[in-house]
Amino acid sequence: MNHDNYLLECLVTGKEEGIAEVYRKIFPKVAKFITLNKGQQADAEDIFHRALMQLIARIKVKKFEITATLEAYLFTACKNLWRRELNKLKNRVTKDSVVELVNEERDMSYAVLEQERWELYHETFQQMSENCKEILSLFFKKVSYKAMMEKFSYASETVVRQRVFKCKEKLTLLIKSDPRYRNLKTL
Amino acid sequence: MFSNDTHEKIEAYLNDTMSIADRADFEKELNNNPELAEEVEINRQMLLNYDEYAWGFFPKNSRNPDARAVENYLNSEEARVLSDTISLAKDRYKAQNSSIRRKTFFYYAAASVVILLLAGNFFINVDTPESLYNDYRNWETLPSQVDRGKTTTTLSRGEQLFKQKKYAEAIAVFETYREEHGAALSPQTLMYLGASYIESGQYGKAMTTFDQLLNSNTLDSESAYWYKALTYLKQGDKEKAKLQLEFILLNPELPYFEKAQELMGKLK
Repeated sequence: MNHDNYLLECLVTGKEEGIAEVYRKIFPKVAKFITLNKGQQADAEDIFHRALMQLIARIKVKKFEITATLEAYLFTACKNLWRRELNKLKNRVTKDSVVELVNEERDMSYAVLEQERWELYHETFQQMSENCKEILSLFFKKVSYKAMMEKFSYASETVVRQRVFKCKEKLTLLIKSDPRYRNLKTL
Repeated sequence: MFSNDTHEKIEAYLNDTMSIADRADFEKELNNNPELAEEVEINRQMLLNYDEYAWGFFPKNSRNPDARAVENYLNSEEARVLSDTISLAKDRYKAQNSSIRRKTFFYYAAASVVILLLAGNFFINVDTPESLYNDYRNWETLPSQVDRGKTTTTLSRGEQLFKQKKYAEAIAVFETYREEHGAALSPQTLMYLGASYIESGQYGKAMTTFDQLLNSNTLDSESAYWYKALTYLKQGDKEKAKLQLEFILLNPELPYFEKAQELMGKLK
């Protein structure tokens, strides 16, 4: 953990050597993920750079603190940024409404919000009971109610539906009571 | 909080399985009920955030103050300098990485040359049929003899003699037993007998013994292929040994299948 703090220091103060070490330790894993997921080496470099800038902005502007390891945080951030890129392309192709092309800094500021919302949703999910986590994991993987009924030996599909709704309500409550929720509302 | 009925409507709405009419009604409801609208939005975000492939975008016209603050920072001089430094660090990493890769390549190339030279010397004397016989004969794993639950003292004695490498005496014990009892020897005994014949150089008799094992119609009969292969190896006959191994390789369920694969690899 201490070394992670040192590397974070290097990042926010612009120490080239420390940042190169961050590349050495973490970039290969990111590059592998991206190139295995329809990306090129250049995409990986671009995403990694953006993730670093995003992290710096969060620290400087929002007093953000990493709770996991630097490697875990960066890897997740990069995966998300890449997923975001792939969905951007998809939207451009399929939607009629024009996706406004915004400048890079504005786009990155949205990316920060979206990452924060992703974290909110995922951290609150972990706070649920094991049973709810299991049911909802299957639900979001689009497993049918029928299959869930068989797996958990529930009496009927209606019973499964009710369990899903109950768990979703609990999750909604957790999300709404989280202090981060207000800033991330889009309505 | 919300009825099951409402939950079902929300699900249908987000899954796009509502009829056009129902959809219009529902959206009217949403306009008049901010609590319901919030519930729908959260459910929508759940679908986007918990999906491995989707992504929940912020609407571009969002006037979120936090977003503005981040954007301003990224436009600042400090942020631009940091961005440039990161690019320099990346270049440094790439330069270091490529020189490490070149060095690593040469180390591996040099190492493989050394290994090949050493291996050349090492392998000259190994892997003759006789040496393979020595490697693969597995007399320690011969099953101990149990004659339907009771161990005959005679056969145990024969086993003892075999383990003490007194092969001629072991053979005598087993053959005498066979004559006296007139019955066929058990598979286990045949293994000891055959092994004793190999070790004392009586290959013809070993073969006959293992053929008896093969024809014994017991669970162990097919291990005879293995022992016959060993017998051929001891005599230096690679080709005949390989033929025996081929029998084993026909069926992965046979005992010694993996050993046969291994040995076959070394005989090629």
